[in-house]
Amino acid sequence: MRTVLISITIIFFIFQVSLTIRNKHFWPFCAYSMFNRVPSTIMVRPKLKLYLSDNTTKIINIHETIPLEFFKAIGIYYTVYEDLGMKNRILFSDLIIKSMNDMKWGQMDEVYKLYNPPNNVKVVDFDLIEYKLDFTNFIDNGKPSVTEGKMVYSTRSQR
Amino acid sequence: MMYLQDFLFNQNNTEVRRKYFYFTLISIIGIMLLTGPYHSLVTDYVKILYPNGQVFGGSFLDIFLNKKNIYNILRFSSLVFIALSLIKKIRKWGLLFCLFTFHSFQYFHYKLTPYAWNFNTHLSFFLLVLCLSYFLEGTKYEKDFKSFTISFPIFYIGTLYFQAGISKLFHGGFDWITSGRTLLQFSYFLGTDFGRSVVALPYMAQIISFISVVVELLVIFFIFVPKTYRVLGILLVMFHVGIKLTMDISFWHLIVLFPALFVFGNPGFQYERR
Repeated sequence: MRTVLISITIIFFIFQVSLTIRNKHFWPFCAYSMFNRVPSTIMVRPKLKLYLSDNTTKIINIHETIPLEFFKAIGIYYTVYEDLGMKNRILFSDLIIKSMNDMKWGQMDEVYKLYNPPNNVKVVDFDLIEYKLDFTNFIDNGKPSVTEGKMVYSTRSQR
Repeated sequence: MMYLQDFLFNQNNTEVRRKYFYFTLISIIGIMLLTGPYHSLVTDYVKILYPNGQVFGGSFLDIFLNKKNIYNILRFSSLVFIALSLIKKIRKWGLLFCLFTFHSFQYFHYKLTPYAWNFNTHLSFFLLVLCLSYFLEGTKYEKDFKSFTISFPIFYIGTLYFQAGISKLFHGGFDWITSGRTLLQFSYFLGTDFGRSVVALPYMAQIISFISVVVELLVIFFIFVPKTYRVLGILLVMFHVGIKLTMDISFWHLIVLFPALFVFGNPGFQYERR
């Protein structure tokens, strides 16, 4: 028994480290590669520009709309809006808007609180926009310079 | 090899520490099942992400992700099995069924998302060794496996930190430390106001990045030095409290296990004279 357990432990260590070096996950074995890259000084981050029923707009992070870990939210959005057809995009967009208007969930570690509009206000539409954030002078300015970039999708175009 | 053998099979006070470990682990799984990252909206996402409804290639497993009621039953049954494991006489069966339902649950979530980024699979491994240790009670393997139930999770934690450390050096390079940009830029996206103001201080991002990598690389060595366990456990919790204060990420499902493994119940192990 001891030999078996020692062997399992050693093989486990070698396998795990090999996953890390190859930067690959083999579920349920994990490379634990979180935050392991040095990002470019100019980063592109998708955000939602919400159009509310009181004729105002609000910009939120997309992970404020999905009840899963924040790092999965971006993947889900890009899969829907870049890989899937129009029918699925409309279904997903409607589901996201309905969630914000009718549901609630709180923050729990890597899951972020759902954005809900103020009382008697509804989310009507949204644009999925890639914002460009330039961190070149971040330390001096305390924040990156932000410019609105490519529009990936707009629910207004499906109406 | 002798060190490894002593570490694996000579853990102190295994009966009490296993009890602490058991209660902490089932609490984590219970809280996660109740609060997320699981949500019945997953079944709606599946229908959209997999238009033909075939996450599992059309096999019978697809039914679990396509039907909201089955998803909820699986989630609820994991909670029931956890609760049943509190009854000592049937603990092993409660853990076994929970292992099956919870691990399946985790697998469905992994299959749903486009990226295989699941950082909580350690819970399944820990549940497996815990479950086996109860099944092996009364056999000649009981003593060794009881120790292994404590030592394997500790080894897993040491390996996890080592992986996180080498991953930064392999894929980010020394620039990961010297630029401090990962910490700076992700603190902006995810972090707290306090975190953003701290990392924006001159050289602070580089200093914190350096300390993070050093800590991550060293944990695996300290798990073989039993006298350091309490200090190690407390330092690691503080390390994560620091990450929570700056990046707003706690990794809580791992760190709440540290008191049971490193701090309480005479932690450590004995070296045998040979």
